[in-house]
Amino acid sequence: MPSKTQKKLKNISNYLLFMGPAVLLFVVIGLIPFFYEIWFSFTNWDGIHGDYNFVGLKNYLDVIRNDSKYWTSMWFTVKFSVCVVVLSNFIGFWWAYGLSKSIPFRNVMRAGFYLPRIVGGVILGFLWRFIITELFPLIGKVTGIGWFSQAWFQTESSSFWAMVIVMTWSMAGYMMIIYVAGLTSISSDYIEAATIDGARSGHVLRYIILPLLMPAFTQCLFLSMVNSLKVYDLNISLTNGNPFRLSEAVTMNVYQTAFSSNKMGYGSAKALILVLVIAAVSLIQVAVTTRKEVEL
Amino acid sequence: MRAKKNLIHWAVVIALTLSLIMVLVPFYIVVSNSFKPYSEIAKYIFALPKEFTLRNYSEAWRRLNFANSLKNTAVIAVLSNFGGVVFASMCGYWITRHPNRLTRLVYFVLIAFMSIPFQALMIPFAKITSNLKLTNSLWGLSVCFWALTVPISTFITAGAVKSVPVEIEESALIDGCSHFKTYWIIVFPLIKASIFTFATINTLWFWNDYLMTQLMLSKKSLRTIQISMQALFNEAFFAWDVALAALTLAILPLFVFFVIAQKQVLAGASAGAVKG
Repeated sequence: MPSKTQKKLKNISNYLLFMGPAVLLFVVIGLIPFFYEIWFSFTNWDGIHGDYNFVGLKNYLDVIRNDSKYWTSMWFTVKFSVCVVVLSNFIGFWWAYGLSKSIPFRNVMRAGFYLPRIVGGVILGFLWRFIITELFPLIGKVTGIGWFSQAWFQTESSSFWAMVIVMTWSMAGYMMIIYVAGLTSISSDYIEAATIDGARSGHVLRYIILPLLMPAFTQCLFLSMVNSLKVYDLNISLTNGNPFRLSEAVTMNVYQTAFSSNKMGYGSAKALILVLVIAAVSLIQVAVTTRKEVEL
Repeated sequence: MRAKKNLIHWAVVIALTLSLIMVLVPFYIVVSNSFKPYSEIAKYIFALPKEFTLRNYSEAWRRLNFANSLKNTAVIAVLSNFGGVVFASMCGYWITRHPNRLTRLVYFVLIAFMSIPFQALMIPFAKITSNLKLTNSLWGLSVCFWALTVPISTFITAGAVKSVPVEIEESALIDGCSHFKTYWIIVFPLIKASIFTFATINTLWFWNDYLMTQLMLSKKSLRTIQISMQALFNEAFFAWDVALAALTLAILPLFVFFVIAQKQVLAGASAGAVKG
């Protein structure tokens, strides 16, 4: 019979074997950098020299008081995110709702709508640079809609809408997949019962489907919001901040500060303000939509 | 009533088909124009190539150093999956089977970390990885991906293990089978589908990652497809004919992957939706 200490040793070695590698990796490469970033945000570290000083809240106060460039990019990012959230969820929901009917080639269509999502990183922005600079003016010429013929990437608003269009193109199919999963989880009994009682499809949508779909809305709004607030790859590949750094989202601003101007401490504070904004927005949003979810 | 219903049905079909065409048009335009000589591209953007040429492709292949970039990207995608499939899945299994204060704490920290964006650790990350000698190495980058995919992979495995009946494991353990063997021989095959799901979404991330990859790999010979594309588009003698061929080359592997692993990609999108 193995002794008690032997058993205990065996138990510890099992914990180390199963959880050790994952936890160690995660702590060293994930958790420690995160805490370091919080610490750096209270220092004046330049990223090169070993010595730096604790400066308290100075970085945060500097950002809040004197960095109008940062707040321009923050406002740009928030506006951008709101537009992407509204458009991609609106489109994604109607696609999912349409696909919940008996439509020919449903699965092919579903995959087709999702296809833009696999194009990621800088490739997404480069692909659309061509479409926007070459195809959009042509659409403007043919249809006579002046908006399409504007000087793309040469005004702030054109760069803004270019970003919104491309992000929506990439995001709508993703939202659709989650709404499809939500719609299929709604038991057809409810819909049948309502239809037998004489409810029209508009009423079924309004009073049965939408309330039961609230968990999917919570998830979709959260995902599209967080993904848009974090935008970076699309930003540098599509507009690269043009014109005059007016279409710069926050991450690009942080990147410039930390890695081009070598202000690591100041950049950390800027990054953490973004993280706080993301956390605040998503907590509020989840709290609001979760309250609308119905218990069955 | 019936006629009206039919009408609505067809209106939905037509609306969906039209929007699908609109969604796919950018792909068509890029691919069809990539086979045209420069003079033809801007003129007839919707037309199929009149004068079919592969010159753009040979030029793009050379300028992207595509064989090498593709190799690097594929190596990273394969190596980086090791951490999730082996380490994180074992961790997720242990957390579900041994609920106590320690495992609950680990689980809670991992879940909380999932909502923290990379921006929140990016700046020290660059410094720490370079101190650990992980930069400028495909292995090093993969190790970082191991670490950063631990939360999502553990989370999905822990959920999957819950649906495995514990009795099978217990009888194996009583028969003298070690925990390690029990996991790999009995449990792992039963949760394979979930493992595939997170491996697929993680792979798409590894393949498409730009921000973290370019922080870590600066050597020219280690460029991934994303980094090569960024370099190509910043070149002084940039022209759309070669760029379109380059875009098509860059998207093609992803497209093939999507066609093969479509089921897992779509399942991952809705199941593991916690991660953006």
